[in-house]
Amino acid sequence: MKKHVVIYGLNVGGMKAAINLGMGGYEVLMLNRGNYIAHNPTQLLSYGPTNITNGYLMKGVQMVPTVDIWHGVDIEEIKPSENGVRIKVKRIPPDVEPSRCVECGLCVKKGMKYTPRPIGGIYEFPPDMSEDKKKEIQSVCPFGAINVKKEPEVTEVDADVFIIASEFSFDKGKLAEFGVGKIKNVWPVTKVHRLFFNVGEHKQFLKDGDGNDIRRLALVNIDALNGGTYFNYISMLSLIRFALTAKNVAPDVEIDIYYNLPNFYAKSLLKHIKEAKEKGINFIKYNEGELTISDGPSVMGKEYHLVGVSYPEVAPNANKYIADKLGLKLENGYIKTQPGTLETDIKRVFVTAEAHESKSNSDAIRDGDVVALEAFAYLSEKPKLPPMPDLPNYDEAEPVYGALLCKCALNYQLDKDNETVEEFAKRIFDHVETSDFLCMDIQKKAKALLERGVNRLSIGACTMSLRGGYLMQMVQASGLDASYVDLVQLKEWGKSEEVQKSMLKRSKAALSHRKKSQIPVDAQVEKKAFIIGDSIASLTAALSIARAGLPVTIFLKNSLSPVLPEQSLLANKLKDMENVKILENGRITKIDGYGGHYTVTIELSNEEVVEEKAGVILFGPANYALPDSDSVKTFKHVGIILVDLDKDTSSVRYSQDIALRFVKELAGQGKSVTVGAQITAFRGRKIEEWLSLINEKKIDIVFAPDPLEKDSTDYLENELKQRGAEVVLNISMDLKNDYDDVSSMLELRQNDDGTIYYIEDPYDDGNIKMVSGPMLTKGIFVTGPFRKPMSPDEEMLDGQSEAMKMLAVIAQPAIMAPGMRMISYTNYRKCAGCALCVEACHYGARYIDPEDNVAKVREVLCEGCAACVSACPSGAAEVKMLEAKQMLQSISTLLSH
Amino acid sequence: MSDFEPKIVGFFCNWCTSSAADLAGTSRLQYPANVRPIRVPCSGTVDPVYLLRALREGADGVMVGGCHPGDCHYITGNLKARRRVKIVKTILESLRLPADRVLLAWISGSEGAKFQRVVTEFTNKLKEMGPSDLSKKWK
Repeated sequence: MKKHVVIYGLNVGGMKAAINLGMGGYEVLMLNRGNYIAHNPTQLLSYGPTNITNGYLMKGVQMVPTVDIWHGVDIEEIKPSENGVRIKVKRIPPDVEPSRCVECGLCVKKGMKYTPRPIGGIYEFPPDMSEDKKKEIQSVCPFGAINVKKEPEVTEVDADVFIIASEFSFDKGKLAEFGVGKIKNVWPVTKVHRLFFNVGEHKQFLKDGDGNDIRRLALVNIDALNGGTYFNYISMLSLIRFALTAKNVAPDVEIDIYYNLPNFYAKSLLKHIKEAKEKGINFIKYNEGELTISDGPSVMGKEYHLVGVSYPEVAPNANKYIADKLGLKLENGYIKTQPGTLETDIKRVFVTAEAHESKSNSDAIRDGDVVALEAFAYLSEKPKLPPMPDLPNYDEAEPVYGALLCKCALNYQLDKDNETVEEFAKRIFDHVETSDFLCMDIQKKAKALLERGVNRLSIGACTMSLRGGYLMQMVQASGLDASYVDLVQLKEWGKSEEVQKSMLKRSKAALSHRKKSQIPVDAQVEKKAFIIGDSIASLTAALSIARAGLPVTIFLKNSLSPVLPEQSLLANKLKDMENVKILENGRITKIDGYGGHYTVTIELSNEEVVEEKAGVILFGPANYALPDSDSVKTFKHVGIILVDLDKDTSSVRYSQDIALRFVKELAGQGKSVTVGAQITAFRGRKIEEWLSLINEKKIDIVFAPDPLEKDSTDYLENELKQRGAEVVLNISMDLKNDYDDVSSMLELRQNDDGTIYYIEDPYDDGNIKMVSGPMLTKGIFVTGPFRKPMSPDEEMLDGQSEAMKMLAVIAQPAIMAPGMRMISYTNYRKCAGCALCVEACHYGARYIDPEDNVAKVREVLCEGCAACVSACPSGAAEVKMLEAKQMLQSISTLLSH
Repeated sequence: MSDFEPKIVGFFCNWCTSSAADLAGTSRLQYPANVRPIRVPCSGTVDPVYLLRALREGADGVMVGGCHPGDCHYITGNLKARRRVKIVKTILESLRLPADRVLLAWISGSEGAKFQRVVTEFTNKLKEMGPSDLSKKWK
């Protein structure tokens, strides 16, 4: 079997990659070791829209016809070679094939076991069912989705690219070590959280398993992977959030949080800690090996009514499983890649998310974009759209009307037949065919009608916005031009039979004057990208877009003068490319237009005025500054502070990387170096290089104290000087935005520390927008250090993922005018936190933020239906649309080209 | 006037005509690219001023697409649109300006083909009428 891409595992990065590649027309096969789609959180185990993120992506995967998913799969053998990857797959068919099942529920009536999941559910035979009974159930399914015989099949799949997408896992054994499941009232922390509800006025505080009140509560953060993973930070954050919610619901509960080595570098965490301390929550630090949880329950000798233990993240088992088969190297259980890419040491083999590192949801989704872009280089055949068939012209022919009706749409109740609408259709149309499930045999039924001479066809079925395209394509494949086909949505709007009848009648009338269409479609989007700034990320994005064959303009306020070696490498490559234009030493005076059609006016230093058109704009400036080695020339002992927690807390990855280069340089000159840092500053991949420097006694290291106890910067400075450092340098990123006039023109908001305000909720950022359909976007993207300070390697990945999103916009034929996407929002002054809107929302877009107890909106999911507006009793929920002024402005811009 | 490509501003209801436009796209029905679409929550939100402004700014035609009467997501929005478009037409007629340049169409979400037909017909009609001189007269 030949597939373009095989993805092993179902993590969110893999799913995003599958959507990207599948939408591009490549054949994708996803392999899942489990027997159903796990909608369990794969990234975060706390509350938050994790389930929705996964479910949303999963829905996307299922909607792309070129993506296949196999469940219950075992990989027997993988052989990578120069020309592709050959995978031997052993597959035990599941009881119900999820790709065929439409969840009609007929089998459940006969005794199939159904377990509901957050999205969709699992259908399986009850364990002790007889073979005969199984066969009986099998015959009920109209889609042939039920398998009775379960013999493993072995298939050989040839792929161009293999992507490893192992799912998040946590260490259950470690939880048991701390008494979960053994000691009474020691629970996993998510279970503790369920005791406290804070949805509007329905605050409730439940009792423990025996019905006793809880007065003293301990929350314990256990550290499974030393060195700090992303998850450790999240689990600390969620512990504090749990504690705050609990305090909010029951203020007199005494709460202690135990921690060992949390990542204290993140700003949001410090904010939460401060708030928690104000509310009277205690933080107790324990050292390695000190933590004991015993009967009572008690933690380190102190008695509580209830103890919650956080989940310890571990590297997924699947990483080892797959790395052994391929002979890949593991680091801390994660698969090693080449720097700056997600490609492993073996060509054509890639990793995403948890296969690579412990990552946040948005980073994992970003990986999906990056992998897709990197995989393009290896994909052998470029996808082709099928040629338009030459179909007969019936414009002059005598119309013969036909109708295809789906009984499933005519009536929800399958066992009750709906004669009247069918009879009506038979009376007004010349030929009528009905089917229980039209989607399943549309082609056969359409052919049957065409043989009888039908040249005008009405199709009556359910949700046309989802199926219409498919049904029409199928009819076209049977030999009738789509111009002569009319779709009638019977199910949703045609509730009463009378309405259904009148819709069919109208459809026939509409068909009577159809003509075959021959007008070509014009592309409307400006197929150009405009990039501001010279960060590594924006140069990488420019290169990716230029390689895709689209023109790119890079604008710089000053002249291009690379500071980091990565920058100059990229700049040299870009200078050689024909479709890249670099505008230096200028000033942007005006940015006009909207998503898909921007005009940027630039005044260059020689007073020349240039107008650049672009479909998308990327904002990615940076001001890198390397520590000056000349300034420390005269000193023999140099002290370096790696991160200044009080001033800037988030640039740790950047400073770690830059400091490493600098320290190596100094050590090479024979100077003594002492480094002072937070212990968690050494995280991620570079830790090995640091360790080797320390072990070879080239540098000395001082760790900062717990920031909850002491001010770390002053402490480190004193400590370094005491150890003999003659000069102390502080390495952190300068976040002064030289381009703030441009960012305000683009309506980008700035945070206090200079980064661009871009993420509203730490769990949920713009990244989960899908690359499909008419993307209603402003077409403005942010990358580089001003999105969030990151190391050069991370910047390259970030630039690539932004490029992917930009390409998705400019490679599109048509785009709607800006701001047309309507999104609901909350007037926080009016919101009472009653959560009625949460109930009213069909799309899961509204939620109550436990922090400030008001309703918030996940903009990605919002459809702007205004159900929340009618549900809100206090008038706080509103739907944003264009105001009159904006509307008039967009009319002028629409007409100006 | 065979080279003349009219500019049409379309105000399309989010619930029906916009979906129809999408459907026409996904089913690969070809329609002229003269329409510059604006998605509105409901055809009832289209102010007469928007239509007049579009004509004044140089549009050769304006089009409002709403749900069939009785199907409105907000119950009576499309009926309001009908009244408003009538007002605009009356104004134009009383000023002896061509009211044909304003079009109101009921296109449900499933009628991708109808969308294609309406847009094609309207474009052809405007091609016959020639460029609008309304913007010049106005100034």
